[in-house]
Amino acid sequence: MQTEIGNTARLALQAYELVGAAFGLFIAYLAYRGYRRNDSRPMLFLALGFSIIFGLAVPVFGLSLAFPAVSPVVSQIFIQTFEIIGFLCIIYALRMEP
Amino acid sequence: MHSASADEVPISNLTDLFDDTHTVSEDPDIETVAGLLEDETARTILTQTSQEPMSARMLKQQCEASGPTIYRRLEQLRECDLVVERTEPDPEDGHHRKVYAPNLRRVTVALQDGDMTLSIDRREDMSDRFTRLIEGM
Repeated sequence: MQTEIGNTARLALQAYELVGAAFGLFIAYLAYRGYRRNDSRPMLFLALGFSIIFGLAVPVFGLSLAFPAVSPVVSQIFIQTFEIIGFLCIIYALRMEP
Repeated sequence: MHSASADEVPISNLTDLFDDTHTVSEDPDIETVAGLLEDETARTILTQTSQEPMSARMLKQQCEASGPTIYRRLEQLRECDLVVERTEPDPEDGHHRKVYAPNLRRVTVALQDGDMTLSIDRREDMSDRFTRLIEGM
């Protein structure tokens, strides 16, 4: 019973994270549109970075439904690695001369 | 925008093109704007460049019109401030070329108290403003 409630709370929290992800992906979309319209390479990497950081919540939510037994440590390492890659993309975009 | 364009065009000119002061400039009269929008080539120029800035050569491939017609329409659109011109490096031959982008979001005709007024909404696209913000960093 206790774990049942814990699981529901975890799922609700992850669903809530999807709301944040939707806003993040909207920013990624704006950046991608900026890249297309202005031929601006930094915007491409910015879009990529935002997509990786915020888009990750969607497959993670799906995977957590498919494999509920995976340990939180493993999934946390997985998420953290992709977030670092996403941040590196954004730093690269900001370093780049337009 | 590529950095190389700064060699050819002073930065101040580039920023002028995107200056928000465009919003306060006097709107052209109804005859001029309606006459331009009636023309298919002018409409095609606006719709095509709204997807990405285009050079006159690229526009010639999109419009079913001759080169001189396209140049004339571009000039008329620029006089009404409906289109702005920028310089950017040409990926094909390494030189610089002129590209055109729309400076228009919405045209409204209002009928009120015996007056018909035309107003042009030139607010900048969100993604263009975002690009300017990042490139200005």
